Amino acid sequence: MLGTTVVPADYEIGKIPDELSHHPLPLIYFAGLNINSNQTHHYVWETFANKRAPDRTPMQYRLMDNDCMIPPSKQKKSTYDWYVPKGILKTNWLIKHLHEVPSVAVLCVELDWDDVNFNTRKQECVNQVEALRGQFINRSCRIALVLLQKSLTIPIEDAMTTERASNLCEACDINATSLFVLPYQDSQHFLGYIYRMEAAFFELSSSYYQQEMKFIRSHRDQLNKTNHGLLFVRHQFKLGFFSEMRQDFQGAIKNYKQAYANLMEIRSSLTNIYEIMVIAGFINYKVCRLLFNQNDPREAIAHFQKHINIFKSKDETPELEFEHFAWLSKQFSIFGDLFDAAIASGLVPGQIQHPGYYYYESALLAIKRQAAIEPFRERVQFINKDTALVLIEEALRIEFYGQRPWRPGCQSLNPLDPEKEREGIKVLQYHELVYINHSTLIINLLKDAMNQFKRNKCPRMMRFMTVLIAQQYYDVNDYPNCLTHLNQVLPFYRTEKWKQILVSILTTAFNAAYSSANLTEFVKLGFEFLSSWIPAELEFKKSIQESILKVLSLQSPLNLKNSEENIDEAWQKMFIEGTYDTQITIKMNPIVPFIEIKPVFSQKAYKWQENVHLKLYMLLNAPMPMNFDKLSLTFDKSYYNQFCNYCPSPKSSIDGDTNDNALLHFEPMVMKCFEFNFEARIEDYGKQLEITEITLFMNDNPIKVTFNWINENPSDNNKCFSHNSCFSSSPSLTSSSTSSISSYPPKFYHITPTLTTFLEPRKPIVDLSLVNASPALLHEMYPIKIVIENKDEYSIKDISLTIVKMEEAAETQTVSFILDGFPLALGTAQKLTESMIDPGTSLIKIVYLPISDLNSQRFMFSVLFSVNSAESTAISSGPNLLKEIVSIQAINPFNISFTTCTPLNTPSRVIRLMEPFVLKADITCLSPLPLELIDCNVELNQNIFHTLPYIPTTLNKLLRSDDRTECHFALYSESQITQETGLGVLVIRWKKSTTSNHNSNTESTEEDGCQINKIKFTLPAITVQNSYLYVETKLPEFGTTRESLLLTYNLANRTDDLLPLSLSLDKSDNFMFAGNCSVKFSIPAKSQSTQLFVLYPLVCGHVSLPKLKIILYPDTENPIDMDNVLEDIVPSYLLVMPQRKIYTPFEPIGNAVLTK
Amino acid sequence: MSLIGQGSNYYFVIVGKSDNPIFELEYTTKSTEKSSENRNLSQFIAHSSLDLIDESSFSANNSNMYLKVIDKFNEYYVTAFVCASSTVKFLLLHDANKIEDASLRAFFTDIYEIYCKFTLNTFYELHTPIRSSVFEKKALALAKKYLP
Repeated sequence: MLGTTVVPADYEIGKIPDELSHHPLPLIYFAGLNINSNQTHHYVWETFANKRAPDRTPMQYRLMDNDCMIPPSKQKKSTYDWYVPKGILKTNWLIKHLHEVPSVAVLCVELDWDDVNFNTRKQECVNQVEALRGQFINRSCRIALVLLQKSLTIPIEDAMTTERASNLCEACDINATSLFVLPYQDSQHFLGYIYRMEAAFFELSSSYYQQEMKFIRSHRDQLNKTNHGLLFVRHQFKLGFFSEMRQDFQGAIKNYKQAYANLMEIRSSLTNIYEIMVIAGFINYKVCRLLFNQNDPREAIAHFQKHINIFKSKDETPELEFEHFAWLSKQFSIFGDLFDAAIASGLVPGQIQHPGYYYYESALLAIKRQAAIEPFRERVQFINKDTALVLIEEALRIEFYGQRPWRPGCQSLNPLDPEKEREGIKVLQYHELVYINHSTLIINLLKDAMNQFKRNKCPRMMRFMTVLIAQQYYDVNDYPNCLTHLNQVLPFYRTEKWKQILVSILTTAFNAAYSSANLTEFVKLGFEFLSSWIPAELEFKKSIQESILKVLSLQSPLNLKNSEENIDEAWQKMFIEGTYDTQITIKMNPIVPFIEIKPVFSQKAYKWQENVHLKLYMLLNAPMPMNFDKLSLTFDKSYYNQFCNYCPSPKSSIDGDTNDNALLHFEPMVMKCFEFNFEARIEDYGKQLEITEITLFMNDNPIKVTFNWINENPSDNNKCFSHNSCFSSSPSLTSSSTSSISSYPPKFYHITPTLTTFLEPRKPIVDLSLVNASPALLHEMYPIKIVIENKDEYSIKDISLTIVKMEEAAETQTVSFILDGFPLALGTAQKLTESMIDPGTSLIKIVYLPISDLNSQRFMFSVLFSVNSAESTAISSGPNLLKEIVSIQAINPFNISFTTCTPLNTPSRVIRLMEPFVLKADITCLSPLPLELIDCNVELNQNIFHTLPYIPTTLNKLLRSDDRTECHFALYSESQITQETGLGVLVIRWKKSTTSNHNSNTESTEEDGCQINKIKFTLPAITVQNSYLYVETKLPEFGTTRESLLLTYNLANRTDDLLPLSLSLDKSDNFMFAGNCSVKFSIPAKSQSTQLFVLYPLVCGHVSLPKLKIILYPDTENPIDMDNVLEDIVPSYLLVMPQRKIYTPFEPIGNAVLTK
Repeated sequence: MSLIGQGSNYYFVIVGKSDNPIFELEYTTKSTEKSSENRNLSQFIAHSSLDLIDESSFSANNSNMYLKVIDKFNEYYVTAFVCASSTVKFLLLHDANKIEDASLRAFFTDIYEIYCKFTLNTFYELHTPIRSSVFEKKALALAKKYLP
């Protein structure tokens, strides 16, 4: 920047000069264009240089004046043997090649092939080319000739054209490829011509830079590492730069990296360390920028990290440590900028890899820079300002980058003149102290970082940056800004409750508020600071509390910071000007509380007309006692607000210590409780009652303070005051708390706040009663009368009944009950009536329940109903439930015993095949209620039959308790039954005697009568034996002495074979008889034989008959005596009457009454 | 910048659901006490690194609970461990250069075990500060065991 005026602030450590950050483009000069006067020239120039579309070949065009001087190339040294380089990179070299030395010079001439004076014009053109050549001394710049032609098209392969063209090239001594023709009137293809020419120019310039590079490389052989280390770097850098010029970025990266490697080989000393740092910074900048452009951010980051690691520890003298930090900081911020630019052009950053971290690092280094210069503040005061300025100006015009202005070109290991060195360093320090505004620098870097963190979704880092910014503002006494920034982040840190962080931020904020005499903030933060959660010295807290009270009564606070003295004035000034709020409202929910409140409703729900009872527990954890003037609660129904105000009148305090508790006076760490009682309004029943706000007032002072707790989460019950979300000052997280406040009452800690309660609506007055007559009888449908009585003032509707048998799972309840004549399953709801039950009336229904076993059973009757009232909520209209349980003890209605008898009516267990027997059922009534036996029948198993054609017996017998009755069934079996088998069942149909319950259910009996119940009893099991012989006896019913009678035995063979037998009739004293006394014969299979005897009774009375004896198979080895069998089937007695002497009318005794 | 004397400083914190610290442990093997200024700095570092935990634990390919070194700040390293529910995080901030990865992993695993056992206590509500001297002692014993 030679020639321009410099200001000392321009001197910036590690700054990337403009020429370096400039994007290198091939430089093309245009000569022969008169753009001001010639319209065509202007048009051509504009198309080339200004109207550039983004996809055009990157080029830099310049117009060349006739007298423009191109910097001549220096005469190259023939040998480098004795040459000692004075520095690494000259400050003017880059500018020269960027803006001054062209790669191609383009000469534009208006010349048509068919020009009349072609030869004259050609000569002019040749002269112009020569003149142009003359401007390049020792420069191998390419020259191109452009002919601007009027013709519309390029003539195709015209002999004249070809000849003239080659003529022209020869005369101008240019290659044929460097001759271009531009028919400028061909507007259609004009741009195409331009593009093609541009591509050709690019080729030319590329070859120029290629040649330059070749030239530089050619020096390398002459160099040696010991003397020319600097040149290795310089040449490599130049190669990189030219590569960049010809847009060969990969080559450029390679060359720059090599330059960096060469730089690292240079031995660093106190004299050249700064130069090395600066150049390293430049090369690193170039490498990283190219890598980012090549879309290789990983490599760029890696290179940068390597760069930082190398230079991080390279310390200069302590006097210049600030310079080192400044340079490092600059490196980070430059890299951050590069990264950011790469993101702007499409790179996607990550949450853990984005420019924010680099800006942040840069800011941290800037803070170190500030700290490093601070010790020298006094030393530099004695410096001569003018000499310093001169030196700084020189530093901006230095020949080599990064060299000290007081010893340019010095490459010795140690500074030549220590005195000058010291002075120079002092000047640098002076510059640092006077011209660098560190805070602005740091804050700007932090803001950059903050924006990046914000953009890349790192909220916590962002907040951390904000805190750092605020700290910087605090350090430069910019308290309002400090407070603004802290207030932005305090809510977040308050919710997360990292104690150390929060305490440090609060301390800073409080100090800032104090120092800037910001009354509102001072009071707010001061109150927050009082909390025992904040681990500060007790004495300090006390003085804060005192200060707050003073401030509230418009007095200056105590001197809280020992050092400063003019703060008092600031406060006074503020009071006089009156720039303060007279009303301060502090929202207590988010802040660290110095007073804690836990409201508790005594019940979760209150019944109809029950008093609502509310307790408010309060605990002050500030260091000193505190007084408030008013306490008020706000509910979601504002009607109740009036009941919950607490405003102790000053008078009450005089009354003595009884009211001490009632005052709003709080001692530290002493729990106080305020109680409120009120009645709920009728219209609020059935609704939630909720505390929405609690407010404490401190009204005594000119400045009034209101402390406000808000129930923020009405849906999330009890969350806002609970100790989870609040700062609880109970056992502190870290034991490092220095506050010596007496212990926290554990009782308070364990109180769980309840903020809502429910006002239960009144229950409708409806009674459900079940009427039944115990006991139930087994297998009966047991009637239960349901009475639903509506005693309320509203009618009820939608009445449904569910009966559930208890102690039984729902799915097994398959039994059904009977309602209104329909069977219904248990467990299902059944609508009882369609109509409503009006007030004062009742609904009566009878339900019949099946009684299936003798165990005690419980049935639950649930009746659901709704109240028919649309408007009122005080009564719970929704489905109301009434429940009643009935317990049923069942007994067996009958006791039945069975006996089987022989046809002779003798009880016998033996039943023979095809032989009739009698089943006798003896029925005893056990029921306490009279029962009516309707009929009594047997259902027989197969093979068992009635002996007589079956006629169902109807009894219709009324049985009272313990009454007995008998039933007889004559049966026989057709097949042999060896195992005991049941005969069948006895079915008794019965009902409760209507006469007994006549009065209780008159209406329902008409409909379906008393339910007829069936009870079944299993008949006894029998075995049926096979028999050989059946003897049927025929005998008159009675005999008469001395009158003969006929006894017939029909013997039936039951076997399938011929049955031989011997039959004998014993002699008897009672009878004389005639017949076969003893006979042997055989009965054919399944046939009968009859034996006839004529008996002549001798005596009267109950006389035994002559005994019949039958022996089967008499002549075989196993004769079978039939005595046992005959005993059962053959009568052995006969009633013999005396002889009738007088005729008396005779009544038969009945059926053959034969007793043994 | 350079370490003074032997030993290292450790700051261990368990962070709950709403990023609130629920247990803190400061442990140092240095003879000199640290200033309180450094304490809040270490909290700041630990707190800010929560951003990075979110990033690493949300990335799909990471199924490890132990996240290794997730952040570096000057001489401090932040290592992290995410509990199975990933709402509770363990952070260890330390300035020990020569500490084996295995012992850090073991430290976290053992802390996780005692934390899990502690949470089984029915009286303890999750994500609230742990106020148990027994837990504190156990954690300190683990720190002594694994952290040089």
